Amino acid sequence: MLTPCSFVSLKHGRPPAISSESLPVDPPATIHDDCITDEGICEVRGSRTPSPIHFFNAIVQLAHIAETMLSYMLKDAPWCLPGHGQSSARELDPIRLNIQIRLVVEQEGKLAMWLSGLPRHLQFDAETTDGKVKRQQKMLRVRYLHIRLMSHRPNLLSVIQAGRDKTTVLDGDFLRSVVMASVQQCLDCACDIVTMLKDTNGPEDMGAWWYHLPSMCFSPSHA
Amino acid sequence: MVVPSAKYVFFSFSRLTQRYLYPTTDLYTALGTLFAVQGQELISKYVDCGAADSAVDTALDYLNKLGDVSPAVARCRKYFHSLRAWSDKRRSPLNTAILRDMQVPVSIRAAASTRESGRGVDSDIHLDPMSISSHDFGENAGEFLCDPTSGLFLEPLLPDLFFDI
Repeated sequence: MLTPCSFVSLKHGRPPAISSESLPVDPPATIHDDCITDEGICEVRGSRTPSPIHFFNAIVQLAHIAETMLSYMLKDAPWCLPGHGQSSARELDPIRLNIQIRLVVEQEGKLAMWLSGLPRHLQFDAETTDGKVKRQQKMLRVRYLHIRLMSHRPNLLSVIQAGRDKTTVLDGDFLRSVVMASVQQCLDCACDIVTMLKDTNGPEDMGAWWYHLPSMCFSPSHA
Repeated sequence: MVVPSAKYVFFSFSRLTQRYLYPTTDLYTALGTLFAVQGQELISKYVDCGAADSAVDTALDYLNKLGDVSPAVARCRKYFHSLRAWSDKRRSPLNTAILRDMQVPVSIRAAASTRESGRGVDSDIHLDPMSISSHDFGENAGEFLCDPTSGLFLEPLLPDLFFDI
């Protein structure tokens, strides 16, 4: 439940209902269930598909990254129902934009660390003939792109707002170039998501039902 | 009478379930973002938006291919197609007069209902501005919150997209 909560909250810009800080639980051991016996953990015999717990842990780590971004975004701005907040909170200014950029750069760092920390078989460029592992790679990549897109989207919206309000906030070369690079990244992620899904063979290619639990619960409100 | 085996029923159900649970939500997010940049002068001045147009086409084709596996997905697909029509007209250099009056289809329900009532794509993009407001739907909050598919673009971040309604 932590994963859908974090992703959906990020999409809606609202505080997460579940915080991992209040649920300090270590990640599960990355072993197959049948290796857990009454006597303890037995050794894996022969070569077999790596435990799906690797995938589970990677998804949960992504949810934590989403959660940290939300916590920071909403730290000094209490969340209100849409239409009930103070409109002044949405005004665009260089300070807010700089803080936003810092946050995005931090997120980029966390995502890069997450990427480099992935088990070898789940790395996006890892060659495998195992159908299950392929599905896990694809799902992780889509989720990674999605959270990256959501990290950069506030900058995209700020640029649209700047164009609408005809403000001078983006007149500075440095700020403009950084924000536009962020917008480009956001666009690239959106294009990559489309390409990823297009290149799949269909729903069967993307894995087991529980990968898509967030979609099941919250599909209609996800644009 | 032929009775399907339990295995057949299980796999049929599994395939159907996977279609329902396919991560279209990620596609919706991507599509919403791609539509947001279309026609944005400030962005197109500094960012290469060429890939966005073809990505929109690809995504819409893919939604068509996926099919209307549920009423919610069907409405989302119609909504994005109406957004496409809106976007095309908005960018057309010949329609400057129309542009002033154009309304972005901010509601899936509105887009779907206008189609269902027999009006075409043109109708989808001329919604009653009094009935849909992205910034203030306080009076209609109960209505919007009751139907999650209707408020697709009414989340806190996205109202910024409606910059020239």
